[in-house]
Amino acid sequence: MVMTVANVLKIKGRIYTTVKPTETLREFAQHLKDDRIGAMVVTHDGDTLDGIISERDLAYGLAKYGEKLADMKVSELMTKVVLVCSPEDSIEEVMDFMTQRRIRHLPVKEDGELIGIISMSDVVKAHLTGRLMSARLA
Amino acid sequence: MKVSDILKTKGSAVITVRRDETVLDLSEKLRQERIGAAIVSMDGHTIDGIVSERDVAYAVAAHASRLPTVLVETIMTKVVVVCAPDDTVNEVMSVMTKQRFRHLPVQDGQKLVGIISIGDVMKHRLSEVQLEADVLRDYARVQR
Repeated sequence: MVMTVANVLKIKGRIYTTVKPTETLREFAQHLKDDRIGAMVVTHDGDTLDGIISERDLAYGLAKYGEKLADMKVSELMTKVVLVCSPEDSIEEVMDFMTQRRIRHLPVKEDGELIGIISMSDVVKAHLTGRLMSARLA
Repeated sequence: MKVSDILKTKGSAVITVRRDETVLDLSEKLRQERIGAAIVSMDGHTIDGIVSERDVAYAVAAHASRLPTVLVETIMTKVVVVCAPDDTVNEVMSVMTKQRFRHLPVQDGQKLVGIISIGDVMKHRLSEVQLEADVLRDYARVQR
């Protein structure tokens, strides 16, 4: 059975948290910790996808900026060119994409509108579920 | 497919950090090696803990500008779940998603022989899936 990004969103929900480009990296770190997540979509108005920022950006950023990091702004560390996927993409396509580009989080867009974000863990979980369902059908 | 198969391709090199090194040292190591986690070990063999980019990121909230001088032992995870070379990739995949781990050290007896990430696991599953698809396609062609 072919699992798609839409299936993943159905399981994990369409809710995703966002951070403003003007927030500090300390505030961003607190959001990650509170929500127990690894990345957030950056948006100044709640709709526009300005960028994406992850725990990796913080960890690697510390090496570069040291004690200055915590007070810097999200906009200074975020990735601006954001790769996205669509609900119809298959899980295997996304697995391939994430492996090739070495990325762990992909925002999901439908008709230009941001509808969610999926992580590598979500994708692996969905892949396992799909395999399990195929095995039961066989 | 087993954990040892993954180690065969990625190698058994493990990046370690000492518990008395600073988080700044750790972040430099993670960045330089382009990895997401390091094993905490004083002698390079015994596992004292594991520390990941998530630990560093979350610690920015608690320690802010003091974080660079905080010691690795303050933010590391001490209870480490490990896997063995003979474990199957499916078992490891399930442990990782259920317990929300992204890195598992590989221990052969008491010896640290590698570390595997969820990215490694996914890459190997993907090649299996692609292989299966090829086989099925050939099978379908023969049936026609």
